Amino acid sequence: MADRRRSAKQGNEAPKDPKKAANAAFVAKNKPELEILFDRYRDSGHPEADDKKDVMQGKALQTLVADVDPTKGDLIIYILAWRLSCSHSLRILRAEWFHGLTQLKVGSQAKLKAFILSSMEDINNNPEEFEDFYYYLYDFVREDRTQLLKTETAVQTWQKVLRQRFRHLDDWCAFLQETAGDGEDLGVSRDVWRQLYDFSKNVPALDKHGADSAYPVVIDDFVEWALLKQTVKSSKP
Amino acid sequence: MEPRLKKKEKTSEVFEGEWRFLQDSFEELKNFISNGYKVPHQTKVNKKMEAYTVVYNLCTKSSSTKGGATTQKELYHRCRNMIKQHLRDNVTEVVVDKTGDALLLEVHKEWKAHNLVARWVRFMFTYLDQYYTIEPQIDNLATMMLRCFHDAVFEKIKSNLRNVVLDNIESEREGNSINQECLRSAIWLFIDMGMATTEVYQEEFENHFLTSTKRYYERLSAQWLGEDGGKWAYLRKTEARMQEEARRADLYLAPSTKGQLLKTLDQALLANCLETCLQDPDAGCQALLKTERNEELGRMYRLFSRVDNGLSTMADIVREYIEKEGKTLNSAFSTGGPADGGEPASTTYIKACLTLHDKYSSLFADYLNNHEEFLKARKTAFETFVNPQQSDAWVLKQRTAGKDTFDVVTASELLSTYLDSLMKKEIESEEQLDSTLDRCVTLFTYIHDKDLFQQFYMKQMSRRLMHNKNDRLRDQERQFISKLKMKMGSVYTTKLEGMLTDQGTTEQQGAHFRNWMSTNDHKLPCDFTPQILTTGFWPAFKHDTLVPPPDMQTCLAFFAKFYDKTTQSRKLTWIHSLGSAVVTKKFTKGPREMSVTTYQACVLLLFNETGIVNAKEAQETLKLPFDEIKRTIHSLAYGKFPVVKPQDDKKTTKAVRESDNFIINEAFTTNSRKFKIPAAVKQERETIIDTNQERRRHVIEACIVRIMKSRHRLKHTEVVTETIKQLSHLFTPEPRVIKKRIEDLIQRQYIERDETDRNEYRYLA
Repeated sequence: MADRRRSAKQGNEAPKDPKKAANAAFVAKNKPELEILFDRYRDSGHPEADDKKDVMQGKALQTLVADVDPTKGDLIIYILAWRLSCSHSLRILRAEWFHGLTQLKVGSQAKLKAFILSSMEDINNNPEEFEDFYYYLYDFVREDRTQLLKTETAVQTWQKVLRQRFRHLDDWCAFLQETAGDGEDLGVSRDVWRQLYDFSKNVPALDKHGADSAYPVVIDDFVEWALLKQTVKSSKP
Repeated sequence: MEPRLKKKEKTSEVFEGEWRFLQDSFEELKNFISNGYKVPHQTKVNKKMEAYTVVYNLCTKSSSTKGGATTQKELYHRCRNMIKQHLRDNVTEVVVDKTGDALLLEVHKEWKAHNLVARWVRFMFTYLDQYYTIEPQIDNLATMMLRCFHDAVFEKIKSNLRNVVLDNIESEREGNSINQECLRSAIWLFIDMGMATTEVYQEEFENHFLTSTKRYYERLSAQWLGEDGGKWAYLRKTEARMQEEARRADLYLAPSTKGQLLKTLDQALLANCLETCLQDPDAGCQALLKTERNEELGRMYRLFSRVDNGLSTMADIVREYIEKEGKTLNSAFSTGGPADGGEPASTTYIKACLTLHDKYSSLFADYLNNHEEFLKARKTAFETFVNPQQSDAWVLKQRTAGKDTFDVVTASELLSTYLDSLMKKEIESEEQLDSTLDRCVTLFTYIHDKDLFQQFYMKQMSRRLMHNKNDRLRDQERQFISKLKMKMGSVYTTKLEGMLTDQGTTEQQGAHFRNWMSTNDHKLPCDFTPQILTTGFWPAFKHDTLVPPPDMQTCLAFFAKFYDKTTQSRKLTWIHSLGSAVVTKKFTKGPREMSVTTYQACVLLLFNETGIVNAKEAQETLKLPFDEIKRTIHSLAYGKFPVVKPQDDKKTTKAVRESDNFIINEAFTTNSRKFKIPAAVKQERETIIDTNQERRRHVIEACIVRIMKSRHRLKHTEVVTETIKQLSHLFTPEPRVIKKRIEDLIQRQYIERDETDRNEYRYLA
């Protein structure tokens, strides 16, 4: 079946530019392997329904992680999704898989692994790349795209992504969980998500934060809460 | 050759001769002075004229101008020498030896004499002044005389003289009497010795005088403050001293000194102890305010207005004090128990605020010259305590009806309630009403949430207008609204005015309706007056579900028909919750007329159909929510006038349940034939407050969008300040709330953050 597809492709399309030609060649060479990879992962996720056969999600993604680098956890998925420009939350579609990996010239499992790890390096070293990645994440982890990102999910994601970058990460997560427990969980807006990153970059010490800043109200509240905690801590004998 | 020589000789001979005559005249003059000026006037004049003539002749006799010039010069010099010698021989010695008061006296004498001599010399040698001394480098005679005296006498005695003068002044300050005439002449000597400049006066006298004055008063100030209870009298004494020094300056100092003298006093007596005087717990500003010693406050104001920061410090203390008093009023309201004299707590509170305000009005006007610092102080103080934050200790609280918790109340609500009670009564005197309303408007300007006041006032006014058809009362309403309009502009008061206009329209329509009924031969089953409310003006009322009894329905139908005919495309919605009715019933003890609400009337009319009315059935017939039925029956059965009673006599609770049955209380009686059965009033204030909060959110958002639309890009802080500025006439939005609204607008994509500068927002079209 793969052969037939291959030859059909070669026969029908006259490559118009070198890039397309290269792509076509690439596809021809590596498609089987990519397909096998995709199927393998998908199957490990034990999809139940038939219509799920073009989607990698859930456990499938976990298997992928295990293959590449179990120590890095969900970060692997995020990076891959970002690179493949996946448009659905928490899942990778077959089309996206192929299209993306083809563009990136990743043809085998080894190359995939190398690619993901190098992307990770990229993010760590290049702040612009990280920002792009971080902004992308908001939509990827948001299961229900009609609503704001759930606070719980946001907290989990932040724990994975901002670990080294945000000094007050733990305080921040504690704060959110405390206040979310009081009333209804309103969720985290895109603005807050983005501004948090900005905040982590520009405001190292909490008392440097001015009350008339343009950060969202929730960040103002957080600073107030954290400072209060600090004074309480320091006043205790 | 010879004739010439002779002439010269002759000239000089004549000259010497004449000169001797002049010298003799001078001697006579000296004697005349030392003999105490006892010479008849005419002699004086004759002598003077003789001398004058001599000089004149001498000067004019010379044939050539050159000769004339030399004569003049000669005369001038000889005169000067003569004076100098005279001074040296006769005056200097006498004066130099003296000290103390004797010096003063002697100087006075000699100076007076010298002035007289100077006058004579000036007169005798007038010709010189006209022709010789007009050269700029030659002193005129007056100046020459002064210079002679200066060199011969003044130079030698000036420091001694100065010290004597200063001693004398100090002595006078201590209360002793001194020779004022001598003193004055001595000081004026200093002035004159400057010869048209004030340098001598300033250097030799004024500076020393001011320094010694400063030291003297500094010492005095410390002494007074140290005295027991000295602070009480301090200002009074200061004022007295200042007046004394002013008089002294007028009496014998140069006019230029007065200003500086008083300034020195300000420094020494007032500026140095500004804080001490004002802050003193016993006699300071606050103490005076407490004991209402207005006169002393007036003096304090007069004196401290002369000193830098004097008034601002004083105004600050005034502000603090007023704030404290205001906060006490707040606490009294919050903790107060049942009002005294049956007056609601809001009235007591507002009246107290108004009284507080007036108290200071009179103080400011009468004693403090209505200075703007104090007016500002009062304004700030009032704004602080009338607008407490939730977290402040002096926040206004009142007990929630029926519960043990406390609600936070705003002054806007209390003011509105006070005006409500005011407007319900007819106030006899126009003036009194006018002044009360004015004061209320002043209080209103201090309140920050003016929009909340508008909501409360509208609601209460609508109820007032509904229940009271009195013309006089309506005029009172109009009066207040016009005052409000002047303060806030017409936009703020359109709805209120609209409500009043509706009242007028209602009357007209009512008359037309009655006409129409009679012309068309319709008859109303009962007396019926509709009230027309234009939807936009009146506060929103809940949709009414009442199904009125058939009689009422006929009336309503007629009116609907009439209204349809007379107006185009208007929809009528009946709001029965606002209506009222008069129901008559013949009780056992006699007929009674009851003023009730429409709901109550409907319930009562149910008893016409059946003697026993069941609560649930009532609900089904009238199609009202059960809560409403409960309340209505409760007011009829368990209120002040129980015209209805539960069928089950043994019922103990006052709660109305669905299964309860009720019958008319035939045995009911009361003293008056007509009476009003009050209906239960729903607790509406929470809804008003909540809707207002909601409204504010929208207003803030609209404002932000407006600002962003016109400016396109703006920094966060500027957005906040601009919003607050634009809304300040209605209420003060908190920066935090504004920020939240901005976030919301970002979410809804009205604005976005700038990519490069996260502090800047951009308007999204």
